[in-house]
Amino acid sequence: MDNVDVMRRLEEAYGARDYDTVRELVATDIVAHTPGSEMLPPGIEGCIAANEGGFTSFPDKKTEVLEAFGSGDRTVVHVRMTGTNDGGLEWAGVPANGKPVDVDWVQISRHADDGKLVETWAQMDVPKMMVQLGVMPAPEGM
Amino acid sequence: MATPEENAATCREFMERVFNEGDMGFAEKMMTDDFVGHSPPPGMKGDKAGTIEMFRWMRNQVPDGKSEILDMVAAGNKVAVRSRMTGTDTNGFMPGMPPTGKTFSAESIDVMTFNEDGLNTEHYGIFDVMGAMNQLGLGPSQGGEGEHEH
Repeated sequence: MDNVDVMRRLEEAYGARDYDTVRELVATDIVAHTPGSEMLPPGIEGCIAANEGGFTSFPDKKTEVLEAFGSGDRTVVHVRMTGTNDGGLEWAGVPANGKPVDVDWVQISRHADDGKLVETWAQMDVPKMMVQLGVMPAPEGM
Repeated sequence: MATPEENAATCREFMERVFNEGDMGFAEKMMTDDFVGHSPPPGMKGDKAGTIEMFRWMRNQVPDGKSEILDMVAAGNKVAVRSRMTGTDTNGFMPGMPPTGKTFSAESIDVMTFNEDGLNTEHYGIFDVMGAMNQLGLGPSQGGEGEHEH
């Protein structure tokens, strides 16, 4: 299984909340450099907590890998997430309001020789989501 | 056929000349006429002319802005670049926002597609807008993202 396959399988496992598979594919002491990661537990528990938090906010959460490629020990994935805010986003102070979101993130990951994720860097289009959630005004021209 | 290494070198030169030095002629030369940008800022166009206009606008808003490449992944006809932009909000960080005069430093991840001549045909990217806005004191909340699984 190459690293890109690891990312596709991992995204599926997160979507299915299959944490046995997640634990097979992610190093216990993974370091995630995502804005907001500092609010989560370190390592793999933080990744799982973030995924569970996503399902709490958006119980119908779905993700789709739009693009994936890799070279050497690095992979890149571009993911689209859709869902309905039926649970609220506590971390952002947003109550449940039934609003749909449709946002992207891009992640660069570093893999160990056995394919496991050891370090990630991600950016998500948070302003777009905040506008969709109705908690931030649409910028001029949007 | 441009190799991934050649495309990565183009990204490096593009960032230095266009973003850090304001050389829009290089952008003009390295982007195809049918270039498609998938993530233009609100109110801007993603075609070639609109994208170059956006580069000019960024230079104007943040004249001392410097971007530094932190990581690159090049494979096939794609290059992903993780970079950090540092600068002073001199003329307004977003369209319609008054300037704060404060400095920010925030990362972005961009993905470029190249044709066989090594010219840039497509782009999408996400900049840590919330991080920069929080540093400028413009953030609606001090929250980060925390909502996807890494």
